[in-house]
Amino acid sequence: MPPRKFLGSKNLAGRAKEHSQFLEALKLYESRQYKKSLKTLDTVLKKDSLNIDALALKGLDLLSLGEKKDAENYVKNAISKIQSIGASAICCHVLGIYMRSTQNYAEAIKWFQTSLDNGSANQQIYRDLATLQSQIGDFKGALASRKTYWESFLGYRSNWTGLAVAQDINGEHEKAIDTLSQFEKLVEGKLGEPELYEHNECLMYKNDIMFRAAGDNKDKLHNVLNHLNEVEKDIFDKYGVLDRKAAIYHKLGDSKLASKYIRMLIQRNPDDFQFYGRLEEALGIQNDNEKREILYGNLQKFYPRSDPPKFIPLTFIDDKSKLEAKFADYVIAQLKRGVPATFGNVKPLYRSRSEFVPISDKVVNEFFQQVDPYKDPVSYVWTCYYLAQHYLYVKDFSKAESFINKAIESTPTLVEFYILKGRILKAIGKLDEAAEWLEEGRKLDLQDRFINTKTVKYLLRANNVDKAVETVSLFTKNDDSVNGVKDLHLVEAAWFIVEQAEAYHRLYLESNKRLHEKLSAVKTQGLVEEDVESQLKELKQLEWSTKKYQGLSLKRFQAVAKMYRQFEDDQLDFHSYCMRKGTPRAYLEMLDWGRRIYGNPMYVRSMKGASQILFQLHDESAESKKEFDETFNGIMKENAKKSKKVNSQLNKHRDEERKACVAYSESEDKDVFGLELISSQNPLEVFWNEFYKSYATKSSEEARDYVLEFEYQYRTGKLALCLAALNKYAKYHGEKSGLTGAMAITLLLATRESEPFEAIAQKVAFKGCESIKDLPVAERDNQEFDWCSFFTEHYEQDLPSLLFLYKHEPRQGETYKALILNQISTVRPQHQMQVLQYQL
Amino acid sequence: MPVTIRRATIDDIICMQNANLHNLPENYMLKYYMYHILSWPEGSFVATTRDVDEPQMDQLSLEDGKGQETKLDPNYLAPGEKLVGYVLAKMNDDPDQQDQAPNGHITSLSVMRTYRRMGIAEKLMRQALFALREVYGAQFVSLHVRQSNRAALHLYADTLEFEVLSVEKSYYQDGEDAYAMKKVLKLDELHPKNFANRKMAEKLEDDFESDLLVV
Ligand SMILES: CC(C)(COP(=O)(O)OP(=O)(O)OC[C@H]1O[C@@H](n2cnc3c(N)ncnc32)[C@H](O)[C@@H]1OP(=O)(O)O)[C@@H](O)C(=O)NCCC(=O)NCCS
Repeated sequence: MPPRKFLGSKNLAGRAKEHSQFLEALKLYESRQYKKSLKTLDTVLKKDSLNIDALALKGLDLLSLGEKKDAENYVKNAISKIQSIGASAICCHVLGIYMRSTQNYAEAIKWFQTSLDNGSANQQIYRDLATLQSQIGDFKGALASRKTYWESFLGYRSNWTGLAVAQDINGEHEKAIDTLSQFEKLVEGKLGEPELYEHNECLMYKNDIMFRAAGDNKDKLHNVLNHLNEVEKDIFDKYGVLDRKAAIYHKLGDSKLASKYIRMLIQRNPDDFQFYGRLEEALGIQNDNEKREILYGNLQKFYPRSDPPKFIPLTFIDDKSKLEAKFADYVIAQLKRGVPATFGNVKPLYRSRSEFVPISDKVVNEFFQQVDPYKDPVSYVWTCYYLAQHYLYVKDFSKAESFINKAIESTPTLVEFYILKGRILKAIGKLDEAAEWLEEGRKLDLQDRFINTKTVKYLLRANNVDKAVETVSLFTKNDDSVNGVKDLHLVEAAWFIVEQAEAYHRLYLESNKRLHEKLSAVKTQGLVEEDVESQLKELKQLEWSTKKYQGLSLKRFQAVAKMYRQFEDDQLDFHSYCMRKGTPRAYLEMLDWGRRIYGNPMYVRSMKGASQILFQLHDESAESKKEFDETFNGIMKENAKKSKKVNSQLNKHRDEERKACVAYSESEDKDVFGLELISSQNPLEVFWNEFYKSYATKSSEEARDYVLEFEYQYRTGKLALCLAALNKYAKYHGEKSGLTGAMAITLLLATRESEPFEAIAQKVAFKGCESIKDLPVAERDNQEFDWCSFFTEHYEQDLPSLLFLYKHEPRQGETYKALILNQISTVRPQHQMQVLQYQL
Repeated sequence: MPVTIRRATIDDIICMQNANLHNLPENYMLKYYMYHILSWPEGSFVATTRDVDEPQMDQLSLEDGKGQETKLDPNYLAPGEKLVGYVLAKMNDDPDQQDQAPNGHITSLSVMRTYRRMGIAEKLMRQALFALREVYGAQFVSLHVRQSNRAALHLYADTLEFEVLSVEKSYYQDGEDAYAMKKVLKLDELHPKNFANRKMAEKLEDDFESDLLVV
């Protein structure tokens, strides 16, 4: 396509003048004088309202001034005209910048590319292109862009590094190595002091590529080693060198040298457990416990201040009395020093080797017997603290409480004890009391944010949102806000936002339940004559709280999703920054991180929380909603006058409530309570757009939540995708896992003719069900068949699977409920209550 | 397992940010952590705890969040691994101070309360100081600390032998003063092996050759 420039203007002379005015406006834009730039553009547009260049730039100016909506209109206008008249290279460039600034990266790439196609000589565009292509994962495109850019600017190391990285990502290892080598030759002997660091990183990066490409090939590994020895003197990352050497010698089967280098690593950092495992492996003694014991005995002498040599033997020694003695050495030394984390240090042993539970019980209780609380108060209180945690672990709550009480009595000033007291109370379901004890602890050390944070978390667990917000705000910046909620959003405090979202959700469930109870009472009994107003008020208040809590809960979950989108986007600058800074190794790790970012725990937790709300909104039948509205509005209408009065009373507080919930600045967000969010006509679409789309593409496949995938696809009606989710789940969690069974049964029953799914989807799913082991597909249409018994006989019953079936199979709901009640009888009271209150 | 000290990577930064928000009033957006890790990838360290074995599938229970999934808790990095402390370090890249010799800065350090007083902060700091010197050639390192922060002052002044340079009035948001502290970095003094034993007299060093499998 030939470059189409300056089409669509009126006459030549006028065009030239307007164009120079446009260029002036562009300069003003570049020097951030947006308002002046706009003014100039307006004079252009007055003469030529079809001047696309001016329209586009006006859009960009407006965007820079924060006028997002207007900006969008101008840009849309410009683009619609381009379709018939074509566009100048500059205009395309401007549009590319606009798209990039509005995070429309794929579009931005398109416009930048068109700008080049239309004859732009601006080579910088290639760098911007490379950045955008890397951000959206178009690495092939990025390679091409980096290459062109490199050809234009050979004099910069960053371009060579960028090219090598792009080649490496595209699997062109030899070329990448070659690129790096060429640059090394170019600068040989010419490096100044400030460049030495990036030089060292690039040398090490080259060795990385060689090492990865070598696999287990011995000749190649020798090459890697030779290279490393050659460049070692120029490498500052000595730790990296030792690590690489150890790895190469290990692969080469040279256990002597491999272990030598690991020993050097251990000497640099004797507190990294990873090295010890590698040393055992290099020495080939992983299965020889006698030798292992000797090894750790020797290492302990070199590193008496480090934990691994002392701890690791506890994980393998078999001899009971020896184990007991070693355990006693390990634990009692720490108790004598008063190390708060002593129990935390051994708790993993409880989990991996249950014989430690009685050993610990015996050893520490015996020690406790002989500690004198007066002569040796430190050992005494920390031993009490340890035992309280021990009994909490084994669910002997009264003993746990009695030990922590002893500790507090003896030393009432230690914050840790109050935290543990709270934890024990929480475990037995006394959430309010737990929060009170944390509050006591907090008062002992007002300067420490950690105890503040813990207290806030406990208050939120007890659904005491107001007090929690008041407390958390003691450590936030509350300049333009009545509390710290806005600041906590700004500093990306996911822990708080999620805890608050969950508290709001519980409040919603409670409020919703009370609302429905109250409404049906009124419906059957009518309003009590002398008290109409207060009853209307209660109803109205409940209706508002229910909506508000649900909206706020979803709003907070969404805030976390937004945060992660920001994290993903934060990578943008680094695609070129890291090349300039000379940190290609760290850069590659960032890309890898970016590919899995939505699998992070707090993202997943928010997404699951949101799914509860959005799935429920989807599941609610239109009829039941209508029925509710009719009853509720009916009552209000009947008492129109009083209800109006009540309304205005309640509205008085609305503004205050609103202020307390503000999370973003007013211009950014007007839906403070999230009411718009929950009134979406298509909750599943909200779920997909706001939460699930990113997760489905950018989380690691093994760790993905396939039950959630099933639940989502079940509601979209895509039974074939449910089947796929079920198969994936079974692959990672086993065919006998409870949820495998629960999903299989649910899927099979969804293929019955009476179910509202598409016939084709049902057919595919049914075919899939036929190949599930043991699943009695022939019984699908048998109304008498007892699926519950089938489930319990063939799968591992656990709480998640029973809850799943309880929700999906209302026909046998009562039977599942009984099983659930039985199942939770063994868990902590706290969890029992959660299930009873919020799940059944 | 008990605590591991290791180099921080980008996979740690979300948990580092979380720990910072739990422990300190000076907070930063994630991008600032990215900037540290991607500019000085060898300079920051974390302390983590890890379960002994990969938990077994059949232990899946509501209570402990076991199973293959990472516990949905802000402290968790991976299945069974949680972050309990970090040090975030950088080189001084202030364009106005480029006339100074290369020098490092400790941006943030904290340890979760239940893991304090067992030497974690000291070990994190020793690794960071060594790296700043060895990898980045820092000639000295500086930091700020609240005047009222007894624990941190003890750590810096006594354990790590920083000196107080000056008092900066109202350095913190809430008006509190800060001590500006500094330590000159000498490579051979900083090697962590020098601190493997409490007392120098006990010192017994690995020669990397002796047979570790004989008593
Ligand atoms: C400051 C902090 C990082 C120390 O962490 P830590 O892991 O407990 O410290 P260590 O166990 O390594 O202790 C190092 C030294 O400080 C001493 N120390 C630790 N806590 C102390 C306290 N509360 N009071 C007095 N001394 C204390 C230790 O005894 C040890 O001294 P030693 O070398 O003479 O034995 C931790 O208390 C913390 O995270 N506080 C909140 C955040 C903070 O203030 N960060 C520093 C900001 S500049």
